[in-house]
Amino acid sequence: MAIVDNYTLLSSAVRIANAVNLSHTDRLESLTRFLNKALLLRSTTIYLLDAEKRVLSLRITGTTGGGALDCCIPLGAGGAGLCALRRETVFLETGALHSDEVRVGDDGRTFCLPVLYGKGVLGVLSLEVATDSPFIASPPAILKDILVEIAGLVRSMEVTERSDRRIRHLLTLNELSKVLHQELPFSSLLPFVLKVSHEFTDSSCTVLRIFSHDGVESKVFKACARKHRPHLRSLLEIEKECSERILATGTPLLTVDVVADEDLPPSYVCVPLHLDSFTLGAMTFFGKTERNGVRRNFDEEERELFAGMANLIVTSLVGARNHERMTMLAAENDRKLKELSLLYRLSNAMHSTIRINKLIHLNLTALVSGPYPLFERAMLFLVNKRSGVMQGMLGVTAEADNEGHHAPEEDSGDLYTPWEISDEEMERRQGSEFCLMVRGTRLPLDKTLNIPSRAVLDKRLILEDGTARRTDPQGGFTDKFRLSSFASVPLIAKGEAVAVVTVDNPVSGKKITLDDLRFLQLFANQAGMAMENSMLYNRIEDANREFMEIRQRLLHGERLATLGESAASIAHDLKGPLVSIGGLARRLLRKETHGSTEWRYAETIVRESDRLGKMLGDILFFSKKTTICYTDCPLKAIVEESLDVVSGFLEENGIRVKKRFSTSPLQVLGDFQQLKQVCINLFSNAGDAMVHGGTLSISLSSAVLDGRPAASIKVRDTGGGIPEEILPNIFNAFYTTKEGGTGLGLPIVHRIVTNHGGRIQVGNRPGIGAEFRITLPTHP
Amino acid sequence: MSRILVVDDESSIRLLYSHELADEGHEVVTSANAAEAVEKLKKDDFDLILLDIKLKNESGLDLLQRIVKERHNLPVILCTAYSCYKDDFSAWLADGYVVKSSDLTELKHEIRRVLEKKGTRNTKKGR
Repeated sequence: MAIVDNYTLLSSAVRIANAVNLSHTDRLESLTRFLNKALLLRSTTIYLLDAEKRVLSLRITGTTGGGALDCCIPLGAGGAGLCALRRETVFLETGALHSDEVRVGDDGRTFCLPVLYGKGVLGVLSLEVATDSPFIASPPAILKDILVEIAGLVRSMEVTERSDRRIRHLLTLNELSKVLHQELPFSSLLPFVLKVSHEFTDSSCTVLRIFSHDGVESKVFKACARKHRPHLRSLLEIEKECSERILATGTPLLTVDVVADEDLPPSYVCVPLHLDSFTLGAMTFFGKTERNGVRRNFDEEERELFAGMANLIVTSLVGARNHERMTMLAAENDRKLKELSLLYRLSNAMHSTIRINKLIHLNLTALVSGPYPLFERAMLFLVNKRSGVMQGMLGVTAEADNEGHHAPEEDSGDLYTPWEISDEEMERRQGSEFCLMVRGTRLPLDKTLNIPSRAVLDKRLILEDGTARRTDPQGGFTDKFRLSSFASVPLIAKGEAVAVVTVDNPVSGKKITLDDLRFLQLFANQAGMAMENSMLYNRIEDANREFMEIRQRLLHGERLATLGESAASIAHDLKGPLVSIGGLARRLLRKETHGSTEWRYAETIVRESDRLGKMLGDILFFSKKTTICYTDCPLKAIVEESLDVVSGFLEENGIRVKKRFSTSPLQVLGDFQQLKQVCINLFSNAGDAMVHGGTLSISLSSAVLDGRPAASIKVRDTGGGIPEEILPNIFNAFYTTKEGGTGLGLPIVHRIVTNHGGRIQVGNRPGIGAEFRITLPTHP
Repeated sequence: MSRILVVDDESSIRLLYSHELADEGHEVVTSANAAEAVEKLKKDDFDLILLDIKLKNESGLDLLQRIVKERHNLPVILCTAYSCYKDDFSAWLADGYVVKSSDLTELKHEIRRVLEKKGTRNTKKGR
């Protein structure tokens, strides 16, 4: 085939370069074949520079063997290398070519022409010409245009390759994101992330490092190709160093051409795992190898890919962590709901009643029932510090409750339904075997003997995890109830441990957790408060009852006092007429014949007016503040004179008087008349009590009052005593059970005695008689 | 025989006292209130006054003070329904104190005692 004309050459070259149905390589190959033929050359080759522009790494030729092959011709070496370096046409004897350069004959020459693009060089077009070729001196000028065509083609190939790579990277990221979109617990996610990242890249060793933060220790996950495992230690050292740099700078790092004694991968990329402004960790990819003596490093694009992967990984880590937190929060919520439910029940229980028995029942049942029973068994002992024992009061079990009628299940609406327990239910529970066992148990209150005692005496919750059982000196308690792991908590009311609750899980053997204990403490506080409330309420009720009684008495007293005042005024006004009626009747009495009808009338008038006069006198005495006219009062004389006054009345009723006076004369400083009044009133009262006869015993003796010398007068009758119900009122003014009495006799006695600094005591022997004992200080 | 002035706001008491004391041989003049008593004291001489503490709208004790001031030799016996005035400071000015009663024994006894005391005093004076 002859050398074609320039036009044909160029048009053919353009056609080949634009043959869209061929790949770029095929087009280049086709072009070399075409040029070789058209210009009658020995061989035609195109060498292409690698991405790093350091070696000619690919040769394409359609003339010998054909196809695209890897090669390694450093810049400056052989014809092509020199041409690429100098960016100018190089002539070379074929014999001087680089070993990787294509040659067909040994003689002849090779022209190397640079494929330029702008100022940069893309590759070299190498033409081997025989010595007899017309171009032996210089290549045809038309090649200049063809070189432009080749440059365009190479450039277009590069762009296509790059975009292909980009697409590949995007696909990789897409695939990765798909894989990472799995629900995995945070702990197993990290190894998974590492595995996937390692597989998705050309990495020969991948290291994932999570930095320490918030108390979390630094964690390292690694995946390594077998080939590099012997050098793992060196790789990890490098990784640690660059991770630390990443932590400081926060920007991805690409390192190429690693020089080491060992056979390490030539390059690595370290990318941060950023979460907002916070660097969570770093990933380091080691990789690319030497091929045909050409080092292949990771490049910027791969760095970008890894950074993208890192972002995806962070997103998935954050997702996993959030998921985990959410799960944790949900669990927490669940627990809170459980607590709330129980607390609600307790609070309900607390407010539903003030009966302590029922309170205990409700509170204890709350521990073992409901949608979330906390424990399987609960027992309560009441503390009696005085007798030094704890008495079992109630025992409830979860099973027993399930047989029961309520136990609201799962339905959250039940959380808010009031909680009630009927008396029958309470009775049923008290009859349960376990409860009977508890009620039949008395524990000594001694902290060396049993755990509940310790809880009571130390006033704190105690958890017994079962290990100390052997050391329990009195195995009675733990053995009797087959307790191994249990907790005892005191119920504190008004600062005192009033009861102790012991709980355990004998059926499932479930351990008592810290949360359970925390709740048990909450329960104890609530229950303690409830018991305190109940106790206070009962006390208030007692106080109220007492108050009502006092109020009743006061009201009565007040009415009487008002009545007394008007009575006094009336009494005074009545006294005058009464005196004249009585006085004039006496005159009549003297004038009438003794025993005549008129005399008897007058006598009756006198007697009745005297009686009225005495009553009025009492009222007037009581209604005015009296003063004491102190004189030496011999008690014997007082008693005798008083007896004189009442002797007629006593005799009339057949009352015997028994006197027992101490031998030494007794004397007190006081008002003779008033003390006489005391005796008269007491003797009259005694007489009134013995209308059908009896004995009035009067004794005088020396005594001691508040450590000072005193004298006492004892007046005892055999009148059957004072009815118990009126005993508290006998000293109240105007209180009387006697017909025609003023209700002032004993109040006057009381007033005079207290005014004298003395004391009055009543000894009542129902059915026999009463004894009044007056003790007066000899010197008030 | 002595002249006794009875001062009491109750006519029945005045009647009783005048008759009873007349039986005892005394000459009795009565007054219903303090003003009347003062008038009578100015006109006549008396050996003794029986004075009620609680007169209508006035206090016998005021009259007692006035009598003690103007006629300090004239003995006065207080007659009252109350036993409690006995220890009253003002009541100490009187020569006697009797709680009113239809039984006049104590009053008569007290009159005798006071008059005897007066007699002794007068005798001593006369001497």
